[in-house]
Amino acid sequence: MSGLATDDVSAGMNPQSTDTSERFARMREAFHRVVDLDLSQRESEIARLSANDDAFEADLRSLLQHTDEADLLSAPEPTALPPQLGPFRPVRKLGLGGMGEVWLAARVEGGFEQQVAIKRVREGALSPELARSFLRERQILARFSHPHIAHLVDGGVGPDGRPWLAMEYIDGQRIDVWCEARKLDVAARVRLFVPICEAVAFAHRNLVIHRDLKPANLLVDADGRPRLLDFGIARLLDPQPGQQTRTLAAMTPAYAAPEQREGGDITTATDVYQLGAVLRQLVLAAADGEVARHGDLGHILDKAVMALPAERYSGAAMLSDDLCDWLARRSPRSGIGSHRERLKKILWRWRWPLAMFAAVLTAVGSGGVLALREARAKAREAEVSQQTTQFLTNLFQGADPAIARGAVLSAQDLLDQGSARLHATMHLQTAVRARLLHTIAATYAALGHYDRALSLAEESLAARRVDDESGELAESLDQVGNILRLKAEYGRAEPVLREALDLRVARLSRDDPAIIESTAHLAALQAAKGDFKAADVLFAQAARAAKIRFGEDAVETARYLDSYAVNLDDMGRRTEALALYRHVLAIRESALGPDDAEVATTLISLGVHLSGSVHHEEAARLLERALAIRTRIYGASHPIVAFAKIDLAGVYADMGRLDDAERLGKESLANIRANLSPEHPKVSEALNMLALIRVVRRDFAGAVPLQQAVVQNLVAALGEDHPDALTAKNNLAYSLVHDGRAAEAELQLREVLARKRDDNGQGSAHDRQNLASALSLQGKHAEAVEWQRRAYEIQKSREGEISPVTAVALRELAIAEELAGADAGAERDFRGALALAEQVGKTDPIALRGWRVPLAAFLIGKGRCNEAVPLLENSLDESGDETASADPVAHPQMLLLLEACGPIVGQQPEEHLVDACSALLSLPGVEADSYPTTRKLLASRCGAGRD
Amino acid sequence: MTAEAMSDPEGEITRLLHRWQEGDSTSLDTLLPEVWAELRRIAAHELRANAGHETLQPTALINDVFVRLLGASQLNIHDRKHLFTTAAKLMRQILIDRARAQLREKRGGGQWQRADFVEAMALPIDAQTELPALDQALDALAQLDPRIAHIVELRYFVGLEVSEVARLLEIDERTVYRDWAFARAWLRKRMEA
Repeated sequence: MSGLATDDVSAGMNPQSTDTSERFARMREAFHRVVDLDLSQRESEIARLSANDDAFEADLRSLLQHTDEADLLSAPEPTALPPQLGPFRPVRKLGLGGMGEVWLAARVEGGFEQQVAIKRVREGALSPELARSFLRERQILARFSHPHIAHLVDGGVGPDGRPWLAMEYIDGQRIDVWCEARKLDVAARVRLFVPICEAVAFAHRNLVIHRDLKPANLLVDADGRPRLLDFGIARLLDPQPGQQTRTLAAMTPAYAAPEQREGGDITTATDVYQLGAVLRQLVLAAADGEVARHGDLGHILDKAVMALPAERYSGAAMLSDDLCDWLARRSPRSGIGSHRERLKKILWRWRWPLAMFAAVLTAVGSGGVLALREARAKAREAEVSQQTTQFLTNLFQGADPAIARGAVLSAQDLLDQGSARLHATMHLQTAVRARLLHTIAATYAALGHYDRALSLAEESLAARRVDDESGELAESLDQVGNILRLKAEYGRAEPVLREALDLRVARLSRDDPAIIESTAHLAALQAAKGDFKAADVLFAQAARAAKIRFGEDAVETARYLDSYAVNLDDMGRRTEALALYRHVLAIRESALGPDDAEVATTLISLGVHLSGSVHHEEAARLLERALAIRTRIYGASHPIVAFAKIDLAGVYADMGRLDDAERLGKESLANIRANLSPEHPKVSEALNMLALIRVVRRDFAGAVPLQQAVVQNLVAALGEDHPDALTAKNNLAYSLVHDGRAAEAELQLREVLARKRDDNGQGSAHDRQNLASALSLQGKHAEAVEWQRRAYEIQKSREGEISPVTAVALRELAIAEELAGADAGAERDFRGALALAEQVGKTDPIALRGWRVPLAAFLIGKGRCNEAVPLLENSLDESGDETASADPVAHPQMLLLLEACGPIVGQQPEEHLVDACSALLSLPGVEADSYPTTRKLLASRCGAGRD
Repeated sequence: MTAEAMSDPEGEITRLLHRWQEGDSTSLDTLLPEVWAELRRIAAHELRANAGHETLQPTALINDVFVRLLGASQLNIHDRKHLFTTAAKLMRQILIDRARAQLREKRGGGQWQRADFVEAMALPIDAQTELPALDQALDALAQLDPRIAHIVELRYFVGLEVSEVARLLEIDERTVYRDWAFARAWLRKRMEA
């Protein structure tokens, strides 16, 4: 034990430059008072003496911290050479310690040479009782052997009654002195320290705690091998924890852990603290006080000397692991730096994006991520989540605006950083890596970046396929399947989602939320594929299970009910769907408040549903609210906002707000093209909306190419038989009919109807009506009547008798009958349709002229002007300027029909006729939208179609 | 070792001192531990026995060495307190000089084992103590409380026990313990910063 270190005090020295003699005297006085007290009494005395002088109190505490309690103990009486102790004869004194003196001694009995260091306990330091347990315990320690630990050789009680211990004598230098003499760099010091940690770990495995690790107890021998002295000595001298004075006497304050100073429990974490304190000192001496330059080493040391034992490494082995990782330039395997305070601080700073992620995750239905947690082994979860948390912490740290040079990073940037860092980090456990990949994939998916999400999710899946001890394989399968579904790759999605469901059913209890989630995901896939019946079975199953698992009115249950309702809607079971939507909305609004993402989803479902009937204003209100919620939660550029815009555009178009509709349609198209693939079904939806607007504007020639693109996209993405593809073809046919291409339209529509022959619950009246229209334009009236009749039957059974669409279908049948020359049936059905419309009009505002005018036209065609004129005059009264622009065909058509029954009172006949004729003839495709009589009048009175 | 020193004739001391003055520092390294052991022996004997000896004449050994070290023609010691104070100041100066010399030699690449000397002197100075820093801190301490600084000097540089310091300075022993612990804490704190 020789040598002087030189570097640890070389920094500046100004801490007490403001000291005055008076203040110093007061400090000295206080110090004298406090050190005489038991530890338990010190606190109150410190407070009293400081008298609210915070600086004084801090200084006093600091001084007490720097105090070596041994300085307060009376020096041992100068002793002569002790007598022979056991087989050993003391040779010379090696030093003094708080507990007594240390002598170098040589074996004089037993027939072999041996040098030992003998510790003699100071007189009166041990009671006779403790002395006896001391003798028992030394037997245990004597068998305790490790190459880096100076072991206990012998021990006993001397002739004077004082216990003694003989330790293996190490002829070495203190570790700090040794390091200084060789000017070791930081890495060399850490390398030297690792075997020390391992030796302490060995002792811990043998349930021995050192309690007094300090440079004086860490020697480097002549071979350069670090050796620990005095292992177990402190415990021998202090077998009863909680005896503060003894604990205090047995430790060295500079390296004492807080629990030692405070009389707390001494555990392996106490040794960890002391190891950390010593290593910190060694490192600081070599690093000029700047540990920060040595990366994670600073974090490792910080963790080792945390004030709370629970926040330190739980044992020396973990400290050793991290040090080895640092030496190997790997990130510490403990996932260091994750102490709660820092994390909390960082997460607080990023609370908004995190909240957003959470919202996004919920909205897109990655609920399985959370649900599966319950099925996970707790211990493993703790370990994995710690590393995951650490990773995310680093992620957010990286996103610190200060670090990112003032640029506030988007969630997108965070994720990109995260996945890049994840791929650059090699040492993570497979399970941890898979979990992180999964988490980032879920977030990418939530943000609508399905390609990036998919590649990470597949990577996670691959890892878990190799090693699924954590039971998370199903989670990855479910995720991959879902992303594939969102990318509309249904063929690939199905086997993956099925495997996920099968796996969960096999492994989890029957009512596990993960099974419900898997079932719903598979149902959503069936619905997306257009197999609504299969979807219905699965959705019903999921909804039933959810009601049992979560309760009838739980938010979780509402999620499944919502999907179920959409599917009912898609199947045409509108009444059931509507009731369910309202139920879901009520649950969500009461549980989540009015501005929640899930509320928005229901508002959209409900709004779209209502827009299918005549409740445009209400539909618009609901969708506008949904759009506002989504824009606020997700930001304007999120695709989910574009989806809401498409739906709202549809309602605006229905309301005649064509400019607003077109603007929203274009915005959503640009958004979806930028964020999703050009083939994504939602691109088609947006194009379809824009085409619809052209149709309403009677720009059929302009609508046709858009609609052809939609058909092409949807067929490529969804297949020929997908209902959306078939609807697109129907829409295209409508434009073709109006564009004078009835034969092409007929072909399209026949194909549509052929593909719908098995009719899995998705039957549509519109394609039949359109086919009839195409047929009648080609003179195929008899067949047209049949298709109109079927369309009417469909509408009547689906919507009920008293419904605007049923009334329309009956009117269309009557027109077909009129064209086919079936006058009796036509008149009956015209009148029946008008009666239905009048019934509907009692509750819903509809324009009755839509039924009066065709009946009037029919009557005029039969020369029954006296019956027709009142109907027409009623209709002219009903329609104002607004109607004239919203329905450009109706008004001039009425005028033309009136004029056919004689000059209109108060108007110039010629002028009037010319206006009506030119208005009608300027409309593309007007023939398809005119009544049979009007068509004839157009030819006879306006000169249309003469050539 | 002390026994040998005592039996050494004065000629040996003179010879070593002479060699030291000619620039052989190792000669002093051999001599000083003997002298300081002698000092402590006197302290142990004189102070423990007490008995009102107000004046204390140093032994010939101490006298000779002090004279040479101080460059004086003869040593004029008034009392025992003066003797130990002088010894403390001398040793403090020697150690500081050596520490500075060591720093110079360090820069020049030389190796000199100061620690061995301190150990040989059997002074209770912590092995890691940076002596120039301790020197400065002690000056600061003396500004605030000369008596406490004095206690530290006697403990550190002469190697007196607390009880001996207490008797020498005629202070209650318990107070010296506390002041000693206080001073050490103060110095540690200051030198750490």
